[in-house]
Amino acid sequence: MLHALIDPWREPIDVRALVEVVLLGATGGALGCWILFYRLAYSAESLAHALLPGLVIAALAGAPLVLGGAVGLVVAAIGVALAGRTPAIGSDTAVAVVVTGLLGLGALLALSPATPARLQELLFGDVLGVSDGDLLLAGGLAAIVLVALAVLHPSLLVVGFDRSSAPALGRSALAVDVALGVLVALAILVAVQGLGNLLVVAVLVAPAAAARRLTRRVPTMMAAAVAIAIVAGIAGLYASFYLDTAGGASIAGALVLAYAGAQVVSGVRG
Amino acid sequence: MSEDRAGPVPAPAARTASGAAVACEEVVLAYGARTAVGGVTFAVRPGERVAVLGPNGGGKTTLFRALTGELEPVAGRVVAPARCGVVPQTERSRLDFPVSALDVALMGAVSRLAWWRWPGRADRERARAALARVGLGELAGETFGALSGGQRQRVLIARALVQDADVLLLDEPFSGLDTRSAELVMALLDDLAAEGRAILIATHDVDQARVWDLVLCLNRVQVAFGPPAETLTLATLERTYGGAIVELPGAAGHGVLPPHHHDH
Repeated sequence: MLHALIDPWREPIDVRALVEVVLLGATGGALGCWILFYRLAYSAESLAHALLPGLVIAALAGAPLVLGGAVGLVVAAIGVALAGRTPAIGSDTAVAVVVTGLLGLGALLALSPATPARLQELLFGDVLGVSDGDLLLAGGLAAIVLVALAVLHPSLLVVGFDRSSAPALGRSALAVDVALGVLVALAILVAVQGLGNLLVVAVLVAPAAAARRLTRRVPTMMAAAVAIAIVAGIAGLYASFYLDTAGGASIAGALVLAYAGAQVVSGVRG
Repeated sequence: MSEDRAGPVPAPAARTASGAAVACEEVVLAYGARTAVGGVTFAVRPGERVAVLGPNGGGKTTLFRALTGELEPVAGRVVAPARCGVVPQTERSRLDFPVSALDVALMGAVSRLAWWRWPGRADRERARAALARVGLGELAGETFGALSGGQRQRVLIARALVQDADVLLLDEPFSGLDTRSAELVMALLDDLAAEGRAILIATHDVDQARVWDLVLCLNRVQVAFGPPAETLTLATLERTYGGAIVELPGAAGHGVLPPHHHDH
């Protein structure tokens, strides 16, 4: 039994995967609560998908993926913001068109003969392939996101609870929205390495949604979301080790299962 | 703002030379090129209760946004204290938000804190005291969304008290409340006015407006401002509500209903 638990962590590469999953879980779980409260799940998914061309171009040029991801995010954010202002076809539709367009462009570039065969890794992540440098970067970004969430906590609460009264309480809803948007972008950059750009949204939405079912206050919900994300992430790594399934997909699957489980538990409790 | 937060709460004081707690001088408010409300001139002294009457889109909410400093007037001058407490309709806040009544009251403390600071122990005590003040001391730990409409309204008033607001702006505070809850809120507002706070209440209810100290009628422009006995004439009400007034038979002007009366 003990061997079964320890076996997956005998290689340094697997320990790195474990650290990556803990970083992802802490960031995604905590930030996910605010993504839920501010109804940003669709925006987060759009950004995550639309940054693919940036990743592919970075892979083609041999540049660091995180740099490509960052540039891709900025381009995607501008595209989504501009599309959202198109009244003719409705902002949801316009955003969907931009996102699909960028995802398609990324796939087109990735499938060209000049590209190294890494598309799968970009789309679905490579949690077992992270380097020490990747981990340092992910750790730094995760620390920034968590510290910012702690500092902004009272403002996030005020605006999220009652946007119309925020100015009277000395808080700008716009400034808080922008800050949260930047944090979501940073979290996507952290998570895209491990989970890939199609699955990244799982860690940003599922743990918080599960925690919402099980808790009644914001602080307990955030703690529960972090715990669920980390436990599901580790469970995903075990599944990947023993069932020989893809790491990112196993983690995403475990996260969704955690949500289903929370739904059942809250249903039983009434 | 530096303030001795541990010390006793200072009595709300008049902030302007004229002795008004809040005032507008020839104010025009607009969203882009579209004028929302113009010609607004009034002054409210500490302790006065003002009914702000008008149809939907008449400019009541827009005026409140100007008084909190959220909206800059395109013309004229707004004189308002730094601390205007806003009590919105509770349906406009997030009822599914996992916060307690105490958490909501504590949000009032944020107005006195720099953006990176958290409310402290003294703020928590204030929030508890404010909830006790509005008669909800026992329900401090209850989830906000699980409270009744009247209780939620009182929690939001507690939030304004924690903010130590000199002026309270309430948006339809009685809509959806049963008579008992409405009476509780009304008595509370009377108390707060007696302490020297100016209270502005946006409402559709003309009959209720008759018991306040002053009435401000808005319909894209300021139609009238003054004591209800002089201000609430049939002519004024017709101009306020665009002529679509229902006069109850035999009520001699005291049973006048604006057209939106039953919407809320």
